[in-house]
Amino acid sequence: MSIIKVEHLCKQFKVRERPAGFWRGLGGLFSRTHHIIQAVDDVNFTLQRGDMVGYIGANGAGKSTTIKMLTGILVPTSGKIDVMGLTPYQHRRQYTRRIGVVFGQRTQLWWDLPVMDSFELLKHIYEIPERTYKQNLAFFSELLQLDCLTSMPVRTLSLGERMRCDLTAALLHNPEILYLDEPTIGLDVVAKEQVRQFLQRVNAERQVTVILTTHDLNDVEKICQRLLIIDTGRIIYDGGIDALKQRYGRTRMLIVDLARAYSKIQIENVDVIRREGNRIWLAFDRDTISASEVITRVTAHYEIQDLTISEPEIEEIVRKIYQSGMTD
Amino acid sequence: MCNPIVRYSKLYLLLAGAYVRSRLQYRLSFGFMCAAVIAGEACLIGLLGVLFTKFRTVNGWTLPDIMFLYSLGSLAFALMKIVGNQLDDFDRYVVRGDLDAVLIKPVPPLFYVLASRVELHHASRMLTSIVIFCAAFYMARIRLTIGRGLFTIITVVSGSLIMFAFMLLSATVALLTGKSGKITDILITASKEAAAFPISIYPLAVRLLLTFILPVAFVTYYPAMHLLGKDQFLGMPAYFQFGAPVAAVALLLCCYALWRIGMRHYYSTGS
Ligand SMILES: Nc1ncnc2c1ncn2[C@@H]1O[C@H](COP(=O)(O)OP(=O)(O)O)[C@@H](O)[C@H]1O
Ligand SMILES: [Mg+2]
Repeated sequence: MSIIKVEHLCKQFKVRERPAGFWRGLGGLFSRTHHIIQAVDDVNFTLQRGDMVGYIGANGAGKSTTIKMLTGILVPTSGKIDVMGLTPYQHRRQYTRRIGVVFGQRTQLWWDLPVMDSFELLKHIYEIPERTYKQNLAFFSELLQLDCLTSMPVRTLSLGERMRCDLTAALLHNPEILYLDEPTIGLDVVAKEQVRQFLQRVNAERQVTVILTTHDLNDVEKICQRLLIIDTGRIIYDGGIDALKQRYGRTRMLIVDLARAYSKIQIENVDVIRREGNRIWLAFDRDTISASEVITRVTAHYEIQDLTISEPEIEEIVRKIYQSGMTD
Repeated sequence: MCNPIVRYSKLYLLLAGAYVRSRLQYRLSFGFMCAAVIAGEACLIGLLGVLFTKFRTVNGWTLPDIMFLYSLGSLAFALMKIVGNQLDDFDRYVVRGDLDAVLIKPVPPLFYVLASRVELHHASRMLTSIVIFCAAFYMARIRLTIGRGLFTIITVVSGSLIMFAFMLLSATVALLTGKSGKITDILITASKEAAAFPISIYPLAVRLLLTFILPVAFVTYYPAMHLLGKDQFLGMPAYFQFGAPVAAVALLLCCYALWRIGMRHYYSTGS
């Protein structure tokens, strides 16, 4: 049974070139001098109950805007969203009782109060029955080791600790869907892993449908069955992670700091995709050529100072998808 | 789920309480704000007193009359501040995207915003206003009856609703443009000042404006005709003395409708 159905979803932002000064600013209210940003452009997808989906894209791709429309914060410019038979922004009060939302960039907890106070307030806001509340609190406290955190003011928590509390806050009222916008942003590796494992358990044990946005491929690699990749507002990939890796993930990147400036750099089977001063970014397909081979070739022809190998980034995969789209 | 009145009263207290508890950590600033409010009011009254040692009357209004008018306005203002001050810097709410967190709660957004930042120091404004009002009531030799008492309460509530509607209007501008600071200042400050003096000192055009467009005259002037037993309707019908609740409800409905439109155009924030 499908739980979320998105059809031809678009969102445009009219950005006014607002003149300075009050009266002219007021005039700007009615003036026509604006440009349009197409943040989300004809997005379509359907999710099933119990799905765990990664919504990924580079910065400014349109992830947050999509989530904001799905959660009922923004009204779409055009297109349709049907979640559990409701239209988010129209049936907001009914709808928000059934979803949980986490924004990685800002907390929803009361900043100056102990964490526990926020939970108590949410209990009243969502009218959570006492028994459910107690059970959930016990469950999440154990899973996320909240015991020593709940009496501390939110502002004194580290980013990772705060995220654990925010996750709990979003799930106390037993939502059927959990939306997360960049839940791992700014976290260290350990904390990131903890969030991922937690989401996986919530999805598996409580049958919560999870949709999370990220620009970090590692977030979704192990836990999401399905990926949606968005770029400049459009979905450019919809499928499994393995298929994606099969097709595009074979690229590795070698970042080289050259000892001096070279006017032209050319190495067989290697693409120079970026140059910044004496630093160059070399992309290669690890099926065609091994990393050590690339290094050998580079050092044979050029004097180098330093080098690093990096995993493919989302930007690189997006580039690949476009490239193959053009040759297909 | 329980009775909505019970639910929302409880929620209001809880949310307001949470904010007050957060603010309690800055006790010094609370005391300071109270002192500032009281000093401000005292200065104005002092100024009025000085003014009236020069002029016995203004357009036939004596010092107690003016004080009465002023305090009626400042009562309405104080009440509005306690309930609706959250909308004062609503542009910050909009620009920082704080409204996002409000919109994902199963509670009407306006209710949530109003409940979640109740500034207690405005209660000190209320207190000062009550003191000045009682003094004026006594000095103007108005006989207190149950009818007049009720009329006063209705007038103050209506007046605060009118000023609240202005707040809502400026918040709507903030929703649409991401800015509102100046508009709030103009609407609120101007209405507070305009409410403090008899509108008979203004030319006809301004009087019409203050009656039909920004109905500040219903906050103090027309109701004061009734309480002070005056008959200076300046060409307006005499039943305007009872018009405050009507003006308040009409204005509030208009501004609320605009607010609803503004909500649909909320843009959140980039990033
Ligand atoms: N409130 C807004 N007003 C104007 N432009 C916006 C707003 N929100 C987002 N944008 C623009 O829309 C595009 C998509 O933004 P966003 O959805 O936040 O991207 P992401 O979350 O993928 O980084 C960006 O170009 C951004 O600048
Ligand atoms: Mg984003």
